[in-house]
Amino acid sequence: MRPAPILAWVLTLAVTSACDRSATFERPLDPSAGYALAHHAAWLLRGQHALATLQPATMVQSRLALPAEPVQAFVSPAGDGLLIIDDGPGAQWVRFEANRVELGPRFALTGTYGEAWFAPEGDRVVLSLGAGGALSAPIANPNQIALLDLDRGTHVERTLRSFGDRPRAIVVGPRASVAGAERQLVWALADRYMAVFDLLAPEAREVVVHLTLATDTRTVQPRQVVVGEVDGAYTAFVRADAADDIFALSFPEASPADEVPKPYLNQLPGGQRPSDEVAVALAEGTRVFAVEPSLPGLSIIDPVTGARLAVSAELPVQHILAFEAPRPDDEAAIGHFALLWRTGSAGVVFADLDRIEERRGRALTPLVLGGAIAALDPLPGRRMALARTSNQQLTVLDFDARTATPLDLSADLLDVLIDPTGARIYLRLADAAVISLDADTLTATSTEVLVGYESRLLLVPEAGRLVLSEPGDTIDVAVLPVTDLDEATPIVRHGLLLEGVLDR
Amino acid sequence: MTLRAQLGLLALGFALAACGAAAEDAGAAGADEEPSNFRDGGAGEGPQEPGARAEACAFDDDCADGYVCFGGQCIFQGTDALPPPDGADAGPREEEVDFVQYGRPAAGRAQVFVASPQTDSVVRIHAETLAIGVIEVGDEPTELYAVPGEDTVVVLNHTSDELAIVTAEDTGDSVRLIALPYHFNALTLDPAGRFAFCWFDLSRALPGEDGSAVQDVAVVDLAGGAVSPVAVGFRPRRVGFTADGRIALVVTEDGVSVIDPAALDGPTAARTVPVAPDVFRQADREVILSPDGAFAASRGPGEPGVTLVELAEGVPRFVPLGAVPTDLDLLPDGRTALAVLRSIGQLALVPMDTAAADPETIRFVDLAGRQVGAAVADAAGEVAVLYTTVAGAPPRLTLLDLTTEALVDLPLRKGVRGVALDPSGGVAFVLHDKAEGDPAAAPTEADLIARSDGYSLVDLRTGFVKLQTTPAEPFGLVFAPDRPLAMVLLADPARRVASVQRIDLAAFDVRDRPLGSTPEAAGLLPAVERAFVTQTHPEGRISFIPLDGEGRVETVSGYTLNGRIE
Repeated sequence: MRPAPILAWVLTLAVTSACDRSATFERPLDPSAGYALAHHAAWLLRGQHALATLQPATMVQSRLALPAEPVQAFVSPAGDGLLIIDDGPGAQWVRFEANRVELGPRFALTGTYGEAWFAPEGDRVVLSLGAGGALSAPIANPNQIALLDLDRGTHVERTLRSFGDRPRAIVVGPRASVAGAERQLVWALADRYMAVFDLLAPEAREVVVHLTLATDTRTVQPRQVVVGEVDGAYTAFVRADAADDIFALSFPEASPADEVPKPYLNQLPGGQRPSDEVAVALAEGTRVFAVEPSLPGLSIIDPVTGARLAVSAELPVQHILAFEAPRPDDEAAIGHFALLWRTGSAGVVFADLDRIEERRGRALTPLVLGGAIAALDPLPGRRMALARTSNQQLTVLDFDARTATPLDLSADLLDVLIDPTGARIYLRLADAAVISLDADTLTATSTEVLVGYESRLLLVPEAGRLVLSEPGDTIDVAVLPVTDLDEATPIVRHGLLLEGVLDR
Repeated sequence: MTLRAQLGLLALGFALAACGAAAEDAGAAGADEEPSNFRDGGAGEGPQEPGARAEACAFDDDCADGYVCFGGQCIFQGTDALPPPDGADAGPREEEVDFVQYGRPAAGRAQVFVASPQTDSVVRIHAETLAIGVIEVGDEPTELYAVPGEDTVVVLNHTSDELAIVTAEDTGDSVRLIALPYHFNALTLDPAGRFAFCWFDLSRALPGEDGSAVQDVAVVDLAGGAVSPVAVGFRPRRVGFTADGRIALVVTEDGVSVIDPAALDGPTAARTVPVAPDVFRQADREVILSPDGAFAASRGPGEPGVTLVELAEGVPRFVPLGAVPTDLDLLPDGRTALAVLRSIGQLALVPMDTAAADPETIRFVDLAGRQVGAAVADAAGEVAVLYTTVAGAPPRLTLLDLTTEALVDLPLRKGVRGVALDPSGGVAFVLHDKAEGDPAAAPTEADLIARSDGYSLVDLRTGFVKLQTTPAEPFGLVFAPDRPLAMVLLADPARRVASVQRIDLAAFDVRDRPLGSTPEAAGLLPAVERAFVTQTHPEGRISFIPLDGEGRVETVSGYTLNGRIE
């Protein structure tokens, strides 16, 4: 039986965390290392007011003139567009279709921005200075944000009220019915407070929620926002550093659509310094599952009653990944489960979330891997995860079979990419090997591509190609298919940036 | 304050209030007793006029006993009727249980109101919907009381010296601010919720706090907003009211100051009636007042009797009883004071209206050698529950039929720290003492019981006693006014004990409901069939418990932070 997709459930139910950007479309620190989109790879051509693109399926290169010098770019969640922040100052939206790249609306901005936070739907963006803000201006207002509507080409710039800090991260929640109107709430997380605003009502005054009393000197820093429903009301559960409680912000009362509604705040007991959380809609109602490293274990919190049940995991845990799967005791029923783990520890724990309140520790299944986990990534659409257990070892976790299959590598791992469908895993090793691994069969093909150590592996999923991009003055690329690598010959292009130079 | 006094503060439906005040006690009396609150009960004779002013005079003979004519006014100077204190007769001091809970929330009809001094607001939490409302009221609200049966609370703003009258309605909240003439830290409402009495409780003064109004009471007409400053005796201890709520009686260290709030029209000085024959021995007394405001009875340290005063007359008269009373209580008839004479093993039933003139009307009950230091009478005035809190005394209750004087002993498994009766008078809640040591390390069964905290439930009709040991000391006892139900709190942060126990007083069934953090205070919302428990939490925590024992406990935390959403 083919596994049911899990990602959709995770996203629609709840999870919008500050760390949830898809690894596939993660932006590079060095813009010249290239951006992977659905059908293209792209590079900012600094000093040339241009964007270079490559359609790796057809090897068609193109060059798009930009109205200003590009500074930073951000790929949309679906990989169908690139938002380029430039020194105009402004932001340029570039649309990417299968065989077409075109300039979208340009947003003339007054502020300085270094971070872009896309709505899950990809049609709206929040810009903030963030940590990556390049100070092209002599002064910057870190509380200034820009709300862009990419479809309409409109934007609003405004300054959030500040109480001594700035947005450290921004979380864009799902579009949902909130307080009697359709809204898309955005959470700007600052030390000791959060500003809440509505992407669908960009000019509405934000609501500020303080997480401490005025005389409380603790640095309660909100870190994670997950969304669920409590008694029919949209509710955000906020986890913060230096706080034992989960802040539940619910919106039970109707409010005009052009205003940001005020929430009720309720602090839920999250155990001692919870490190991760998920909100899951179970048959008996929404439950918040918070990981408590000091226990170590899991707190199961009923947001209606405020009751907390602590269950010891007996293995170190720090993170939680919720997923749905057929129940082992009833294959026709879909159950709710979670994987718990801790970075630096070899143990993982599978939790049966549907039964844990009844069975407590008996609802937990521990599993010890061959090495300590350095990183763990779920495979979208599959009840599987990929754990990096050493520089030269990966472990594939199968949630259904509760198995952990180690895979030994011939050299240090440099890049790991996971297909958006979760079907394949792509690796680049220090010995020049590029590997394509079938997630279901765990069979792999590989080839060698000699590129520089600082090269970056890009996955262009809709093109079915891997692109090895070697940054530099001219950018060299090697293009590979995503399967049958052992039979493939890389297509190499040198001097990508030089394309058309003579024509100019 | 003793357990019994605390019961008076907590039990809903208790008509006569001593709200916001620490009841005075006779702590120096050598033998302690619970201070009595005013009680409902037989009205006795029609009320006299306790607020009447003293007569003018030309000569001493124009004045009552104990008064001298000075400058045309009768000034109390006392009599020599009061013997010197008899310390040798006092015997061992009985320990008292202090249950005073400041900063208590106020229970409205369906909502609980909690002061949030950090946010200058009052938070209201609806017991059914858990909806939270934050109402700005002024600087540093501390004391608040609900108008009976309404979702209206009166709030004392500690820093801005205002009274805020907050009304929570479906159409919105409203706040009315009334400036106070002095700085106060205590608030009392009359039973009908018509007048607020603001005063300064010296025992609760903070370091550096303005205590200049230590002899002032501001009486606020809540409907019209008029404020009348009233000078009273030194150091008010509590404010009580006559059964009809018409007259306020302020117990002070100078005696009882009498205020008729409806008659106030601007600043005035209250008539203060001495409660002891010796003008220098007015303080440190336990004072009880008849519900009609006609009489006061008191006991002082080492005094082998009680002092009675008819408030309208203002002449305290010492009534010797042959021993130092260790407890002074008022029977439900509203006229009879019950004095426990532990050292001679007797009770004295003292008619306040006749005992001074005719000591023969005092009825002495011989306790046949039993060691009894305290008593509490049931609501019908038929049975008195007698006990002692002296360490090492035989652990038992003695029931006294006040009509036939029959005595029944009920053995207990542990020593007694206090006794409270449920409103029906059918069940006694007996708080027990605890021996040193960890019960978990007790070498014997007897040590296990002795080292455990706990309480006993006593059926006063059948004499059945059930011991309930607890993992922490019980406190915050609340009786439901309309059903056989009580709630008691357990808290021991060191041992992570935090719970509320629901006590079925008919079946003696006790169920423990865990709480998220240390409980502080409990209350009832009968209109919505819930109890509430506020808990220790930096930003406030409250849990609601269904009175029927079924259903889930619902908790709201961080409600004070709701005042910081802007």
